[in-house]
Amino acid sequence: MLSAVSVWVWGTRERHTISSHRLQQEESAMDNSLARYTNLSGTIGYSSNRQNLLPTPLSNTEELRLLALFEATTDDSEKSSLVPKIVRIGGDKSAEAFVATLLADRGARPLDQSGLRLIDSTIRGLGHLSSTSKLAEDFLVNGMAPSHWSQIRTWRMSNESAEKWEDQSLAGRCLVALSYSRSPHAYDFIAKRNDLASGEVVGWSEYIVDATFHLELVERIGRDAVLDLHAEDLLAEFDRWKSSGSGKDIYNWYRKLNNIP
Amino acid sequence: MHSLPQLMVCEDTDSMPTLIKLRAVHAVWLLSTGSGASAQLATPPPPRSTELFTKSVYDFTLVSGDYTDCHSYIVSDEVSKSRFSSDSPFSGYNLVTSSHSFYGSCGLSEIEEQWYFPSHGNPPQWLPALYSSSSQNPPWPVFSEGPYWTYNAFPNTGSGIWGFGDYFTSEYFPQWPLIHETDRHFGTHISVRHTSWYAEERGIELVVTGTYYNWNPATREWLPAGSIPATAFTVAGKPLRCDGHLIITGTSGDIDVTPIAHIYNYYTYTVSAFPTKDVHLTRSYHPSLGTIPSVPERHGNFFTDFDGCKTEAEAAGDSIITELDGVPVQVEFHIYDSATLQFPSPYSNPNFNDIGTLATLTSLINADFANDKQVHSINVSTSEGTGMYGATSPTEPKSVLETRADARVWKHEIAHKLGVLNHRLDLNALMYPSYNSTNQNELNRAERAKMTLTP
Repeated sequence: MLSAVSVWVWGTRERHTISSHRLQQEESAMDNSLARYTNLSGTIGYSSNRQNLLPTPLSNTEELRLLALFEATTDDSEKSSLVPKIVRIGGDKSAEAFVATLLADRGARPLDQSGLRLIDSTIRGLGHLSSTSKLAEDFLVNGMAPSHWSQIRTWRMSNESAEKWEDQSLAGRCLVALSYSRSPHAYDFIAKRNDLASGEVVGWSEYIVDATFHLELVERIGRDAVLDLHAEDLLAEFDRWKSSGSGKDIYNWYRKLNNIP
Repeated sequence: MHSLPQLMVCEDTDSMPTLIKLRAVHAVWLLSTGSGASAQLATPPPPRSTELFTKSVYDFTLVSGDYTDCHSYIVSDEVSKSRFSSDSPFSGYNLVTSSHSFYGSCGLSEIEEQWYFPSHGNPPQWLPALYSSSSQNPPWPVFSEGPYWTYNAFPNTGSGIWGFGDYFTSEYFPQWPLIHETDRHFGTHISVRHTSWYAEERGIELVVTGTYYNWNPATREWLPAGSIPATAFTVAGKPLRCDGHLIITGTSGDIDVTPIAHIYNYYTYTVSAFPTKDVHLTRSYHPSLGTIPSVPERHGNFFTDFDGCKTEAEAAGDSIITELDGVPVQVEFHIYDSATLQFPSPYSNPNFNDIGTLATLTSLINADFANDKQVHSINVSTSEGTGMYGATSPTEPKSVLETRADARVWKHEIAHKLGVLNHRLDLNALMYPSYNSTNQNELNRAERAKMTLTP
C-alpha cells in the first residue's frame, strides 16, 4: 500500500539558470514581499467554509510586480515557475493574465513538456484565484465543457491519441481547479457524476477523484496550507485519503470504471 | 545511523592491537547504470559475489642454535575466508577454524587458528583472529607447535611493518636453556576476490583506518601512539581519500587491497570492503511515446562528494556532519526491459502518458508490470510548482519518470526505492526534492547507511 510518495519535482530555482540577473533580483525582492504576506495571512488553518478561504486583502503592488515578470518572459518554464507565487496574492488581473496565456495563439503546434506544464499550471492557478476572481471562476466553469476547449484551443498534442484526449483532459483539470476554491460548481458536478453518460464518466473519473480529494483537503487544512504542501506531502495526503473513508470509496469507483487492478 | 562509524570504533576498544581486522560487510555501492546490451536482458544476471580474505605467509628462518635443518619452513595458506553474496549480505558467515599439523625436521608442528565471525552481525563483520591459548600478555598470536615447545611470537623492534610484511622474532623454548632462535616473518595480505557476471569493471568501496604503535623495550609492550591519517595510506597503489575511503574497480579475480602506510613502521589497520550491491530494475514505457525512451548511461563516481571530507571518526555521533557532509557512495543499477515493454491496457490510455491527476499517477506507480514507467509528462500542482520529473512509492521499488528525466533523477528515485527520503538541508544533495543545480549529487552518511543496508 502506498503510504506516501517521494518525488522529484520541478524546482523554482531551475529558472535561475535561464533568468536574467535583473529578473532574479526582482524575484528575490518579491520573495521577501511574499514571505511577509504569508506571515500576515497565516499559512495553516482549518477552514470550515468557503468564506474563510478568502485571502487577506492586499495592495495590488505585489500582484502587479509579479505579473510584470510573468508577462515579460516568453519562456514557458519561467512562466510556470511564477504561477505558484502569483496565485497566493493575485486577483482579477492575474486571472486575466492566465486566461490570456491559455488563449495565446500557439499556431496549432504540438506542445512540448514545458508548454504542457504552463497550460496545466495556469488552469490550476485560475482555480486558486477563483476564490476571489469571478473572471477566473467563470473561465473554469466554461472550461468544464470539452467542446469549449475544442473551440478555443490553439495547440495540438504530439500524438493522435493525446490529441483526442486533450479537450477532455482540459475540462477535467478545470473541474479539479475549481475544487481548490471549493467552488459550488465543483460540488454540483461531482454530486451529479452518476448522471454522466457511460461513455463520458470514464474520462471524467480521475478528475472527479482529484477534485473530491482537494475539496476535502482544502476544507480540512485550508487553502493556504494546501498551497504550502510539498509534493511528497501532497501525495501522502492523497494516499491516506484514498485508503480510508469517502476517499477509498471514490478511488475504488475510479479503479473499477477504468479496469485498474 | 550509518554502520561505518559504529564499525570503526567498536572493535578496538579492548586494547587488543590485533594485527589485522577485517570487516566483510554488507552491500556495495557502485555507480553506474546499465544500458545498451544489458538493458535488453529480460532477466537479471546471477548476483555478483565479493569476498574479503587474508593470505598469510609464515617463514621460519634459523638465526642461531642447532636445528640447522629447521630453517625455511614456509607455510602458505589462506587462513581465513568469508564468502557472501552481494544479494545476501547477511548470510554465509561461519565459524572458521583452520588447523595445520605437519612433521618437519623440527618435529611435529601444529598451528591452530580460530577465527570467529559473528553470524548475524549488523552489519556483518570480521573480528580479529582469536588464537588458541591466547592468554598471553601481550596478546599476540600464540602458537602451539608440537609436544615440545610453546612460544610467544613477539613483534620485532627492527624494521618492517605490521600487516604487510610484519617481522617477528620468535624465541623457541622447547626446554630451558634456549636451544635455538628463529626469525619469523609474518606477512599478511588483504585481498578482495571478486566474482562478477559482468565483463566490465565494477566498483568496490574500501574503508581503512590505522593506528601506529611504539615499542617500549623496558616493558616489552607495544603502545598505541596515534591514528594514522587516511591520506598516509595507499591501497592498490591508490591513495585513500581524506575520509578514509577509496573506490576501486575491477573485473573478476583477486585484487590485493593491503593498506600500506609508508612512513609508519608499526601499525595496525582495519579494512572494510563494500561489494557492490546491484540494483536490478525493469522499465516500461507508454506506447504513445513512439520511440523507445532511453535510460541513463553509466556514470562513474556519481555520488562522490569532495568537499568537507570529514573522517568517519569525526563524523561519529555528530548529527550535523552525518546529515550535511557528502560521502562517496557507489551505486550500480541495471535497468532491463520489462516483459511488458509498453504499457498494457488500461495504462496505455493517453491520460497515463501526460499525467494530470493524483489518481492516475498513484495508480500507475503501483502497477506491477514494471518497476519504472516512462511517460511524457507528469503535471501535478504543488508548492514547488507544477510538474514532476519522477515519483516513487516509498514502500515498493516502483516509479513513474518523465522521459526527460536524466541520470540524476533516476538515481534520486532509485535512492527512494532503497528507502532514502527527501531532505532540504543541502541544495547540492541528490535527495533535495527539486531539481536545482548541476552539483546536485551528494549523499550524506545517513543516506549511505540507508542505501547500503537495504536488501
